[in-house]
Amino acid sequence: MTQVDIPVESPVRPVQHLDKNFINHSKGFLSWALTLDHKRIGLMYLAGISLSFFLGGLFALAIRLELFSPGMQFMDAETYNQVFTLHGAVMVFLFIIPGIPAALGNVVLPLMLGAKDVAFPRLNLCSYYLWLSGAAFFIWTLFSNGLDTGWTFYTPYSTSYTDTSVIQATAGVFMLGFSSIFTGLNFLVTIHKMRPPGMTWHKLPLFLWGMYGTAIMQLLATPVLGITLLLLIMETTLGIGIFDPQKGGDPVLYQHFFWFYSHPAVYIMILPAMAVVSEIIAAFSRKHIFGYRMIAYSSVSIALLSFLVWGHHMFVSSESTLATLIFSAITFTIAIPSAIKVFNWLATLYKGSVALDTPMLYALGFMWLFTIGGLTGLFLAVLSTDVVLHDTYFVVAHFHYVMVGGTLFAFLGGLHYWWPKMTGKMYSETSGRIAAVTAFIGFNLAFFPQFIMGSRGMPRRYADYTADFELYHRLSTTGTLILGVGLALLAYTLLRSLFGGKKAPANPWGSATIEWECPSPPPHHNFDHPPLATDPYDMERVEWDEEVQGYVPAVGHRPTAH
Amino acid sequence: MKLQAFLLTTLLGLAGASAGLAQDDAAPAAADAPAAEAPAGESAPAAPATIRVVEDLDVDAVIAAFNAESGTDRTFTAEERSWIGAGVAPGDIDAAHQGYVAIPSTDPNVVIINRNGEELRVTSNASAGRAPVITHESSHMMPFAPEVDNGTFWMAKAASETAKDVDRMFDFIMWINYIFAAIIGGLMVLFCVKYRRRPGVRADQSITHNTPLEITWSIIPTILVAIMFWGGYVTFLDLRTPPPDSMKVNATAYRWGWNFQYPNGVESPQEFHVPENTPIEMVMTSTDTLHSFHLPAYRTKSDVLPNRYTKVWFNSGEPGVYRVYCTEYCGKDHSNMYAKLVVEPREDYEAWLTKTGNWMVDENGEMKPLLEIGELTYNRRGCKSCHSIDGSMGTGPTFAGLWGLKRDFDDGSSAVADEQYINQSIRDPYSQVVLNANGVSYGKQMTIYSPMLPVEQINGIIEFIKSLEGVPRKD
Repeated sequence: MTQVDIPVESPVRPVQHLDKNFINHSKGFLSWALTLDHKRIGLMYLAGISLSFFLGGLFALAIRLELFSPGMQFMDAETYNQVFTLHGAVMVFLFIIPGIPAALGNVVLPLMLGAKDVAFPRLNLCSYYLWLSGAAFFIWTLFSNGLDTGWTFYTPYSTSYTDTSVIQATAGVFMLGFSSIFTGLNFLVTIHKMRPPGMTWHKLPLFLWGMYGTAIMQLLATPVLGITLLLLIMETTLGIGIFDPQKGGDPVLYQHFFWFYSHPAVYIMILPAMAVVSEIIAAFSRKHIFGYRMIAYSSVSIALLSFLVWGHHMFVSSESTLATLIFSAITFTIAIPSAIKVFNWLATLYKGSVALDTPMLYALGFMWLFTIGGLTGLFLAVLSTDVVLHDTYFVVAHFHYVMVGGTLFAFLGGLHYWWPKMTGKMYSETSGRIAAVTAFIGFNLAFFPQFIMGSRGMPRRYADYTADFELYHRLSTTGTLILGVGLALLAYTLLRSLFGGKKAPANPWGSATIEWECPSPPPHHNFDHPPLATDPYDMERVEWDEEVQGYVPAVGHRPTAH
Repeated sequence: MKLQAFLLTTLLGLAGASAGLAQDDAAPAAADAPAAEAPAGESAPAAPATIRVVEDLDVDAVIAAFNAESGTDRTFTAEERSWIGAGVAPGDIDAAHQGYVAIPSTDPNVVIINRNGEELRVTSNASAGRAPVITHESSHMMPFAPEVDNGTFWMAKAASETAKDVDRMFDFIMWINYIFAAIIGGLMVLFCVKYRRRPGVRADQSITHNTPLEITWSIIPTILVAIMFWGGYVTFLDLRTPPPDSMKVNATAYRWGWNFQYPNGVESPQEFHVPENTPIEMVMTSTDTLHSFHLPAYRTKSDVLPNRYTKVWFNSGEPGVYRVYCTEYCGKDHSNMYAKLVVEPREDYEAWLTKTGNWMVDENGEMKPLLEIGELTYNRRGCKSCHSIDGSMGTGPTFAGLWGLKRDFDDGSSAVADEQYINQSIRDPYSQVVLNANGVSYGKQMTIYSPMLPVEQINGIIEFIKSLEGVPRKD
């Protein structure tokens, strides 16, 4: 097994592929089930998360088909309530929160640092099994009494009025929470302690800044969720009055506890997405990212501010006027760093050399959808307009633009971007692009009409509606079907590449971060020698090489100081 | 589609059977009058409704399909065929003869009950939140929605000055949205086209940051959001601060309905009237889970919580009819938890209030028969969302055939369904939680009506359940 270290000015081409890589380095079920290799754990996460996404997507389809017409179509209201609850819970807890950090981050983060693995490989494997146990509890929920509380488990409905499997589901979420904490802890320590020589904090790739901010939130906010759910379980099983007024508790207390976690959780979902998009936009513009420091600092400031805004979910749940005033003000401050990021990405495109490859299409899609999601968030941060829009489809559309248009599109962009590195295969660029455009069109058609019906009064979580909202619901369902077609084509494209795809070069896109310096797919130990870190956005460091159909270190390039 | 038709027919059957029963026993002399007249004061339409004809319904095909499915070879009389033509399933024809299935009429608010050959016209009880509108292409919900037919592209009709202030704020933010979306989207497309990758053309690596530009695009949004914050806060204070002379209406939310109480003690479930151009302050609480009082026409909303009082206020403005939604998820019938707000001239409002306060009394000032009170209570108080009267199992046990039945409780004890059993079930439901046919407990689902239901209404419910003795039940 050989790997050529990459001297900056060597005319010798680096090794592109290896016979022995992390995928075929050992065989058998146990070599995967007991692996400590961050790349294998990442791939196992990817498989699990993709299945969860498929399951959540089926629920979404059922919701949209049911709402195609007023009146009940093929399920009753109780079934509908279970379906929308499971859609939300599966998508949030099993897919979006672990999506980018645990699946993509696990594979990429140590590679970006030129490290052999994360700081605590066993903790990493433990986090995966906690995720699996949490998922198993959800499956148990599905096959026992289901769940109909909404993904938020609001009390006292969840503790005293539903006869569905709240305890199984909350126990599952509790485990998923610890899985998330372990991943965050691992990444935090890895980024602090395992950076390669030369990688100062200001040479950290922006993906790592994003993961760093995410890790802070995972570590500090998730325990609150764990405690809250334990209290909820105690109330349900032991009858201790905490949240149910009939037992002497206070239901609004639950909302405070829940959103103290779940608002940071929104940023646990979106920060990694922003991090992925920063990498993709720079790579496919072949240009240094614009305003590196502002993007990096905005990630950390979003992470810190996210702890102070939970009350904006409760403007109409009997919160005092003073509290609403404070929470509204802080909420606006968090809009600024998000806006700065969008402007920086835009400026990165300026005078770039923009290639519209599949990952870039997803990143541009993200920019547009996140912009709409962010701008419509203003209506919800403004106190007077939030009062009428709260708990309507306007909110549903807003957070789908941020979470699906934002996080999902960034996840898919990142998946296509690092797919050659993870699997060693190139996918069909044509069908990848068609899938991206189809998904983008379908998404907008599915969710834009929801803004209109929401501002006109249609409440969320309704199994049925009056005929005046029919047009919007029909457009939305049609869009969902188109989105589904796009995602199916995407799955086909990626799966086919595993069997028929071309071998991927070490650096197919011309990125300058370290993970592209090892062969595709990387060997078990990633790098023979710790690589030397330079400016991660010095794109001229690599140049196109016709023979390997990829980028190789440029001859005679001298890094420019910025 | 068949399932849907079945559900609608069942629903109609409920309304029809209850109305028919009350009619039969309580007021045999007035067979033509609407039996379940809404307490809100809706009267029967002037022109008598006739049996509906669904235009694209092929009666022969429906009968053929029914015969093929049930393996029978049944023929139907001309009258029965006209019922099928109105949307009644062939399998329900026998029940329709008994008066348990209602026949849709040309007026969506009126159904026809044929009870042993005697035809009754029943005005839907719109105040109960579920008028049986049964055109097959529309929903079964409230027939009124005037506010959403007007208004702008984005918003429903604004019914008060405060609502218009909120709309101005909304429009201001929307313009900022348009401008920023146009700038960001436009530049994105422009850059992607103008700087697309071309052979031999390299990106300009000299642009990595520009501090004055970055400070500019941080400060401009900061100023804009500061304006938005302040504007939003000022209008929010208006939404939160009722004028001192406002009229108070109490609202109690329960699963799944609303009960409104006026200062003079009058109560009205599912519907409330207010005089025009009057500030109204709602003081609200819940008897069970969280609910939320959402009045989009006035751009106002507040969660309704157990053990707490929350307030919203609005200036009623011009006469109109508006929808109140529940916007905090509260379980099975969350999406049916509507109430109706009627804004009307003061004289009409006062007449309504008097009539509503006296809903248990007939025109001659006499107390209505207990059975009629019971049937009205059943429809007004939300009993019917959980307890069927056609024998089917709901969230709670059916009332059909309940009288005199031995009930098994989840603590192992049992009782016979008599007056005391029903009384205790209403006032203290969790002391005797009954098991269903499968031996599974119904659980603590029932709203505790103890302070809300006066003794006449409990007696009425008892009479109502008595009247359903012997109706076959399926649980």
